[in-house]
Amino acid sequence: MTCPKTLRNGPCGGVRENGNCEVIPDMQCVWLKAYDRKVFLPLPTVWKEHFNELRPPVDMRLQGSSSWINLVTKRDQQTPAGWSTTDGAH
Amino acid sequence: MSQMRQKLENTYEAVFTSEFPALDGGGMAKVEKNAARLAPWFVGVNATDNPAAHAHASNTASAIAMKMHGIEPIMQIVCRDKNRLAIQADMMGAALHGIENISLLTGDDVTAGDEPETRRVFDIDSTQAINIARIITTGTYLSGRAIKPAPDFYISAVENPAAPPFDYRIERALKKYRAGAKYLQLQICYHPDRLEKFCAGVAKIAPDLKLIPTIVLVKSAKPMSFMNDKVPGIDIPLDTINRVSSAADQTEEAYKLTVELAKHAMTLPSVRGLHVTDFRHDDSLDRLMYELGQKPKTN
Repeated sequence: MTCPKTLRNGPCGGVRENGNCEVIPDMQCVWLKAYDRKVFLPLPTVWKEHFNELRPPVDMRLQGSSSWINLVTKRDQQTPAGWSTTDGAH
Repeated sequence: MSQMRQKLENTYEAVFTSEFPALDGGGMAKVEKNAARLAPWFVGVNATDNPAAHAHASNTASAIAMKMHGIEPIMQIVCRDKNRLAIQADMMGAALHGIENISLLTGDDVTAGDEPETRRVFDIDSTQAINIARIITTGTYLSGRAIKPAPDFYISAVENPAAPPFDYRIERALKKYRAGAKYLQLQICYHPDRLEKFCAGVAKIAPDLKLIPTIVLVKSAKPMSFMNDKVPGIDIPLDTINRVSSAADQTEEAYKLTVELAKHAMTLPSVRGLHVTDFRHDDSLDRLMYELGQKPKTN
């Protein structure tokens, strides 16, 4: 996650004409890179669909902990009690 | 029910919106003066939240002041300066004062402002903020704590139809619609072809999502060059800038360009009105609105 705005749900409106980041003009927008990969790589459709899922707010308590362990233990799937989405992704 | 909701959901009338000038001083007299200029033409007017990363009177305070002077506010909340607690507090503060229209934005980065050394927050992003506003209308905070009775927001967001990746902008509009946005105000766009593709795409995958493209009243080519060079996400074709800069009467040519862009935008699918950004502050706002077939409200 190298988006300087730490966005989780796609690129902001500040992507430059050349596809670079609003905050770091020399860097390609990370969301643009991710989107190109989604479109051009032979990923299974189910992965491609993940791109458009609404990702929940980040749990800041996990900062500095291992994302791999959080993935395996599913700790990274815990969301605030009130969080719900209309597309049933979470 | 807010007029924005009433007109967009229950009528086919064109809905025009604008932006309230950011407030720094001059108290209510200043609010009154601006309100008098905008009230005849606009259904809703954006109450901005530290636009372009510059500090001003707060979004909530400005929205309340506008409401007191007969302007229906569309209260913007940006994710740059506030964490999720503060953002929910903004929403509930708005609800407390009967402000129904709220618009959720990522916000320009702090580097766009005059205090670039500040901490950028971005605890949540705009799509999450839209979803949290929707959750609040179902009667709970993000934590799950109950809100009785639940406030009834008319939720909107913004999108840039002319920034890369172009195809994805349409999917992102759908994502915002699913999260809870009923309409999108669009970023300034000097590429009619890109706007056309975006609107057609949205109409296809999210037919109930309403679009309000932005047009800009400028007096010369200079502010166009400024936007092109200094505002990330806004690109203005050189030919378009040259058309204005090489005209004998730049003021008139800039106006004509705006009318053309406005008329074109209003023919596009899912477009329900226009957002008018006025950098001229002369009589051209009235002229434009009459030319677009509008009549001033008298009340």
